Amino acid sequence: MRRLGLGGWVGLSLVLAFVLIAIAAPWLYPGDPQDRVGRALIWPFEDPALPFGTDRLGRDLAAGIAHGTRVSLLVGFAAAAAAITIGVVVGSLAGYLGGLIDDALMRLTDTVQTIPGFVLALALVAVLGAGVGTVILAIAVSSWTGTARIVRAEVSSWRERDLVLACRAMGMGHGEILFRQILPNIAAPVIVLASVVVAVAILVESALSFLGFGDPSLISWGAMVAEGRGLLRRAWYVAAVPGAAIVVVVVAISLAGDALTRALDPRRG
Amino acid sequence: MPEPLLRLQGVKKSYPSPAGPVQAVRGVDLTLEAGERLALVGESGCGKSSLARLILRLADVDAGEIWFEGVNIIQMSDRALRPFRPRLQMVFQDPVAALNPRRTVFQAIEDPLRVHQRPDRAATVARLLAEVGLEAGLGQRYPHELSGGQKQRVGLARALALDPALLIADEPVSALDVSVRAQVINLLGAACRNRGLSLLFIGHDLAVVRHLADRIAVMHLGEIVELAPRARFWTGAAHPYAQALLAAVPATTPAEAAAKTPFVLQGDLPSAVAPPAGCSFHTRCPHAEPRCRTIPPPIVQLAADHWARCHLLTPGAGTPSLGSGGPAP
Repeated sequence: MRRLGLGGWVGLSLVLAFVLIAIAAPWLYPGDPQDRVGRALIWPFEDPALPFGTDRLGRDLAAGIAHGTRVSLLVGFAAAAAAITIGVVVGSLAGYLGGLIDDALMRLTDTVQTIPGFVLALALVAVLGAGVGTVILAIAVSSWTGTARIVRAEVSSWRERDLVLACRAMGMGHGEILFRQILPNIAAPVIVLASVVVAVAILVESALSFLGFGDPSLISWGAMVAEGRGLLRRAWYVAAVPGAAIVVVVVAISLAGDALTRALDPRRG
Repeated sequence: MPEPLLRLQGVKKSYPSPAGPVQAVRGVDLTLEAGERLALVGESGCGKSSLARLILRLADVDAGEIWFEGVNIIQMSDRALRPFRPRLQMVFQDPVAALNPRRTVFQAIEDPLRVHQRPDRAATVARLLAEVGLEAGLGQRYPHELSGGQKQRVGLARALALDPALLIADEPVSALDVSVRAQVINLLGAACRNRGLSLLFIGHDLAVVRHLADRIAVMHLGEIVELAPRARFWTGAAHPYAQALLAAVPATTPAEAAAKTPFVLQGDLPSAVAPPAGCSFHTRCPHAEPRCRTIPPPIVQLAADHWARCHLLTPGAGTPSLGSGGPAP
């Protein structure tokens, strides 16, 4: 087994745990997590059946966290997948083809990059209406630029190597050179970036929900934090429990991304 | 006279640079017969590697013709060129840069076979590994697990995979430890002999090409300045630049050392952006005369198969001590 390191194991285990919770949420906490289960503001560990306690309306925070995991992970992974795909396509075309196409694609990247991502997300949600799809789209169109830049730089440096000349001399097509020979070599920085984009997407989704721009029909960690905001003095745990969930999942994804980079490099491990 | 395997005619190539176009190749004429081994020598920056890339159509010429197996490959599209690709293969200088760190030795050697849809690839790869002296078990290794010499053997096996007619080796041992250079050179020579392969060996070290080449071409600043069979070159190199390169080869016997004339080049290779007028070597030539600074030197035939590009070999104000003298142009 290749070395993942302690951080890698912790990160991967936590990500796996969150994924399992997200899948199992409907069985663990059947019914609507927004339903009242007991009296309001039961503190955590007061009632063994309600480990994270209840909020102002008597809703089970643990059920909210479990169901909120579904939204956070769905948005995080879907947005990151879309952003990475756009970034890899734009970056490889620019880096491999060079010339005018490179200039055009990179100016487009510059333009998108100058728009603050969160403001763009807010604007898109305001125009298209709140919904998970809109949030994913908004995060994807604002966070592919970093990937595009890194992929372009890596591809154009690989393009200059003798490896590409050797492939061309043997008559290999451009598509195969790019996809089979070059891109596997730049998987490592892209995986790191992907983990960052997933983490950022989860944060942006939380922030949008916190501000009330999330999907109103789904429970979300950001909305739960917003819920607890008014109770910070009386019952700080109402905001702290979903807040901690956000922190833990983001740190776990970063650790896992870091470890995967190391594990996927054949020159190490 | 039958068409040679490879014939270059007036090949020119320049690359843009901030200072102006770099004239990498300035009109090269060269032929290579089937089964012949030709060494192209010259110092770094003289255009040898550029010429190799032009022959492989990895870059396009500005002017001139490149005939391979009777076809001018200059005008061919990438698609039309594809069937010719297997006939012309190359070994690169730095095997680290020429191999994919994420593909195993087996995959690297199989790549050309796969691209051209050859059958029995596993058996062919096994045969190639044996031919270049690598154990079959190395097939599953990655390049970073191999030594420099082993990596270059993989590079050679990959170039031989498609059974080429012409192999271009661009400084194939310069990046290797001195201790393994001879092995790779011998392997290259053996592969050429056994397969009846033509070789264009590009190098800067005459000591390396000494036992490998049938003919030697000396390149200086984008031009071939002397072309001679090996034995003739070793004893009767006519161009002062070729003599300087020869003088830089360490003597192997006391008799050789005694016969050697000390001759060290002064200064660097002139800029290829603004090559010197007249003879491109006049800035460093110890025998330069006034006409060398203004008039481009003629190509002088010294024997049936021996040419040099130098004023001093023609009757005139020159010093006739340099060469045997040739017919006046």
